[in-house]
Amino acid sequence: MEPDRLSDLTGLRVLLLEDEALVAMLAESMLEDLGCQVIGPAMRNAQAIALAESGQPIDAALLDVNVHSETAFPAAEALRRRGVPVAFATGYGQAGLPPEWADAPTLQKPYALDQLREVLGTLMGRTRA
Amino acid sequence: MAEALSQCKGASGSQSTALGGAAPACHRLRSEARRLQIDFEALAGASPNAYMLVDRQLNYAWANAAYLRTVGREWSEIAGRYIFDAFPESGEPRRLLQTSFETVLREGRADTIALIPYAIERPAALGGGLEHRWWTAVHTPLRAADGSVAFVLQQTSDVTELQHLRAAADAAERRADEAVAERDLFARARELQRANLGLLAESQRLRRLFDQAPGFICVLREPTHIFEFANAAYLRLVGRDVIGKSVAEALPEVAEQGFVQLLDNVHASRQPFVGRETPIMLQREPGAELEACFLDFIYQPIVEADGRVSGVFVEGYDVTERVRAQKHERLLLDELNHRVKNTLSSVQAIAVQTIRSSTTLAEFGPAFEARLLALSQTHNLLTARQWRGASLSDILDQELRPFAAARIERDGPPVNLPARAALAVAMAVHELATNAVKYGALSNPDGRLTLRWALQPGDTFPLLRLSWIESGGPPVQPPGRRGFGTRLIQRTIGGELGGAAELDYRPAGLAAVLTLPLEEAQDATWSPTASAT
Repeated sequence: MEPDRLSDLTGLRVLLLEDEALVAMLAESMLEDLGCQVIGPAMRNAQAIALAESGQPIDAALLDVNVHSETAFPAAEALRRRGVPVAFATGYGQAGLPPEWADAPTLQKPYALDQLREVLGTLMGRTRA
Repeated sequence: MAEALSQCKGASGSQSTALGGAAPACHRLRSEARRLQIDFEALAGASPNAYMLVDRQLNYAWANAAYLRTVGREWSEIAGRYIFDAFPESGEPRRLLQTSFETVLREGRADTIALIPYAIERPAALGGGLEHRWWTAVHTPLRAADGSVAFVLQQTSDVTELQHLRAAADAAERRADEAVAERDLFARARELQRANLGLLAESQRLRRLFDQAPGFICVLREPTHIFEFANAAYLRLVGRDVIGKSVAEALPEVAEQGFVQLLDNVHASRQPFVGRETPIMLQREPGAELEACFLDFIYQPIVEADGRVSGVFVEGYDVTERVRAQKHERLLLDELNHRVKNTLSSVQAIAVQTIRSSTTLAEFGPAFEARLLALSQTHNLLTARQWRGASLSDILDQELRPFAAARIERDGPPVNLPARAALAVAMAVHELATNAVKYGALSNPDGRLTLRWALQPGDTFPLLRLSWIESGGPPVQPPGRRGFGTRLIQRTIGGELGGAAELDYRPAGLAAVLTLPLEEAQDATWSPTASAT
């Protein structure tokens, strides 16, 4: 896989789950800057699960780990069942992930555009590989 | 046991042995004997040695014929009596005897008195008066079914008799020699006893030290780990009596957790085992739930002079509080890190969004700074109340302070906003105020702002309805594209809080109605799992 193929994320449909409005707005604009199409943003776990189960096409998901006193893992499970690759964003880092998700790419908040690009590239590389 | 003994005491009758009279009433004693597989009666009848039993109160429970013969008493004279009433003595000999009994009762092990002078009253038939005599005695514990020491068996010999025999001899020289030998014998025995007493005092001193030690200490004997000694701290830790029982018997929950296996290994390998902050579930009181504790401890094999391992010495500290404090500290640090990262994310978002909506750096600077301050001041309000919430009035004061109070009408009850709602309302009010200063009612000297709010019942949480009505400003035109402020209000009040934000750009002035549920978030507890990312 060539690097620029990896970094070409144009048209990628990314489900975004983030419960803090300011941070969601930032992530949304970053994804748009990368040429992605944002699905959501979901601000509650249930919204993300509903979107995951709605049948609409989703290429990847970026999930905030702690959402309104819950974790995003039920939503992550729903997405995995559909074969959607999942990355997490968290204030705790990789250590905050349970063993079954320890391999998932993780963004440590706050993150920069390049880091977001890299994580999405990794996700898509994994699915294509 | 006490009941059984009271029956024993009441019964006496046989003149030859105590057992004959006392036995029919002593079912408990008999069953104990059966348990110990002793043929009590045969033993009593046949033994030329003097034996007697006292109970825990040092009352006579039984004595054999040889004993009665030795002390010159009938069973009926001493049955059930306190030994020191039956044979009064007040000086050193009494202290010696009493200490020995108490040692056996307390420690559950045999104790020997090599030599003790003890005067007993001569029966009236033999002329009465006190007879000074010398004795040796071995005291052995007899246990009840529950493992406690119920009786002390005394095997005693009257060694004064040696002297009497010798007195009957007629060879003067030989007698003199024997008298010397006898004096030597007694001197040696006396010396031994004195040494024993010294050891006893030393051992009692060590016992007191161990007992009062701040850490827990116990001594386990035999490969089955029988508790021989446990200090006060140990008994507090396990919350029950353990002496004389095996670890598996006394602390079944501990056995299940692999500690007996550890002890077995120490016994077999002769190597100590050191546990650090080792988790253990303990039942601290009878019938209580298992409690999680953490222990620092060492299992040290007790190696005898002949190289044999006779037991395990256990010593340690209950470090539960320390471990909990460390965990709590780690939790707080994690939470602090998490909050800092989240706040930095918010600042990043504010910066990026403000850059995008600014055309010049001069425009960006004040706008960014003002948003940052709005966020920071709301943090101050929340911190003042341990993040349990902030008052709506305080938030409004903070944003509207620069403007003359006469231009702003405020009407509504006191409302405490939970942390998340407080931050959202503060940012929303900040954006509305900024907009009013730039384009609306606060952009000229005559405009007015009316704020009204009320609480109404909601589905799960009470709803706050806050209206922001501007009038007297320049004619309003709806914004061409949704600016950052508008999107922020929609996203925070509508999206994040699950409420609604209606912004009506009427020509007479902006009318905004914010409706939001006052959800008591659990994230005020500062636990990482409960907080928002």
